[in-house]
Amino acid sequence: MDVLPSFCSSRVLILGVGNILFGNDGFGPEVIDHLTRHYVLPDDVDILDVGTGARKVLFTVSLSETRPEEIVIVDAVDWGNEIGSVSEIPVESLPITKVDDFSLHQVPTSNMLRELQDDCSVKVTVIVCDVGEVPQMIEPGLSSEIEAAVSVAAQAIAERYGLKSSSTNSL
Amino acid sequence: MGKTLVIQPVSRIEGHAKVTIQLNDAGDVDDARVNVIELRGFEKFCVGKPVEEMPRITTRICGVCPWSHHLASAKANDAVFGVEPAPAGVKLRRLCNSVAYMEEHILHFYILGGPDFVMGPSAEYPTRNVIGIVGAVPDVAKQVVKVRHLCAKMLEMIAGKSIHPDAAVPGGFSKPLQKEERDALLPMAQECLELAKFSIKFAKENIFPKYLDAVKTVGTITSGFLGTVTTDGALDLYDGKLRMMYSDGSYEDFATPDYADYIGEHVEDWTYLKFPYAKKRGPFMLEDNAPSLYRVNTLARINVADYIPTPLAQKELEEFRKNFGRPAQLTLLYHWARLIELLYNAEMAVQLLNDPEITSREMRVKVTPRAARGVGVVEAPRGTLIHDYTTDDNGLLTHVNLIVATCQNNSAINLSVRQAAKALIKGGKYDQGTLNTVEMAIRAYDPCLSCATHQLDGSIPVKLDIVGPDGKLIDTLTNA
Repeated sequence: MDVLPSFCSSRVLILGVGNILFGNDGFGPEVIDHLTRHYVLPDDVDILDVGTGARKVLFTVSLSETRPEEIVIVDAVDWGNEIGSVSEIPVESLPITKVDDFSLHQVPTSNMLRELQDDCSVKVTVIVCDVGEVPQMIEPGLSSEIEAAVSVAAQAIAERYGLKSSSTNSL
Repeated sequence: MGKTLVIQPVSRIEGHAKVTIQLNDAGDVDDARVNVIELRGFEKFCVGKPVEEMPRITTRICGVCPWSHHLASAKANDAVFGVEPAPAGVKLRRLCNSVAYMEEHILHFYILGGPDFVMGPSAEYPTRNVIGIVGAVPDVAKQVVKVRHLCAKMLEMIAGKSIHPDAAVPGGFSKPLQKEERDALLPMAQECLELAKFSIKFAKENIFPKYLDAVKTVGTITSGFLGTVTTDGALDLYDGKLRMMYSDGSYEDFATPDYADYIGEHVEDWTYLKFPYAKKRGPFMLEDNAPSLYRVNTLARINVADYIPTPLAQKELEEFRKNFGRPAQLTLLYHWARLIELLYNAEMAVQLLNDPEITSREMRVKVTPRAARGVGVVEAPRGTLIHDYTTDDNGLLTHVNLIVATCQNNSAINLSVRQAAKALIKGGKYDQGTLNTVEMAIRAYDPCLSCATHQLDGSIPVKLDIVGPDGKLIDTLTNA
């Protein structure tokens, strides 16, 4: 029996990261939910809502002999850009000096992502949405700007990684 | 001139914490505090929701130990609905608990805490990490990886998924275990058992002797201990009564719904995280050997249990007690106790899979909403976890109280860090190895701080700020 968790052997692994209990911090999981409901995955692409458990999955991948060719991290950040703006950050573009203040929620920091890319030959792509400040107290639910951004990010991911729309009314 | 050292955040523990070390004019340590942000607003969020949603909601609190919250919540639901869950359902829950424990304990020993021992606390950050372990002990790492994969796969097979589980339901378990699944799982559990046996042997021969001095000196404090035992005093990580053992070895046992009679919660103005204390021995004091001070987690459980009901782990417990007594107090012995528990859980998993009832189709009983209070307690890998719910006639929540494991070690973590810092930093002299050793005192408790904060950034390297009395930054050290 193959004991590898299935996500280790997918070609592309897309992880939605964040805590749905804290407002717009739930951007990443909501993107995964949107992809699940509205798209059909190719056989070699896996998507996972890892919530606040991204580290476990990434540890498992980093220690595995079989790894995805590419890991895509989908997460919320507060970088002071326009709220709801979605952008892609190749991990190698993060300057070393950014290691300490890189505020990717619930992700095991840029240095672990760098290790995955540099030492484990996994291409790491980071897709972030600027969500502004996330609430300090539990308050689930996305704002309207971030809900709109979920569709934008999902569509971009679908186009790049070959996900097909499961319904003509899906978007 | 006094200085303040700030270690923020502590690397490689699950979550986010800040350590502040206050030096006096002589450069010695005056005080040290570990500051954690607490999860706030959870009760307000839950009130009005159907209680049966809680086992699913609570897995979102913490992605590190979702199974513990899931099971504590399911047990609180059983109590609210006033049912005894179906025996097969209980066995499936116990099996998931044991497998999740193995995954956690392996992660902590080899990956989170392990690099301190395998690489040494003075190793440079780039090698004192996961990849460093693989390079230092490749054969061991290969087996560790395989068993972690096995654990994740086992949870997928038993419960449908390992992240955000939803298989435990009020009255039992929602997914039956097929006989062919059991047959496939058994050799997997046996392989986990082999790694557990190897791990404790490997650590006793190659790791612990090398660091015995550190074990005897780093973060040592004297305290009481809290953990769960069966009616006859055996170690149990899923169910039983609570035992509060004091530092002199005397103890009181109590039923889980009575926890508030024995555990008080103190508030300090410099942190949101409360300080639970043994209120029968109160008042609260943040002092070593305070009568009301207690700890939870692996060492606590190993201390409070009269015996372990599986043969190999029991043999290890006897050797442990011969070496360190009961209750054992040395903080770094949490690692040793963790390996005994790893062995226990592996034995339990094999035992449960050999039990014919585990494949019974009768895995849940029917439940009906009612107004009631229900308390669910499990031993999370990091310590005793309490879920306390009250519902109205329609089964909607009117009150929720959670006491998470790391919170129960709040006093102990603070005291251990203070002790370690005082012992290691003299005359204003410190280096990276010193700071890493201070961190070791925290990591021994395996704290899960993501229960307390939504911003998890656990592997940022240690950052040390040296701040003068005027608040001006004098120097910054980092191992980035």
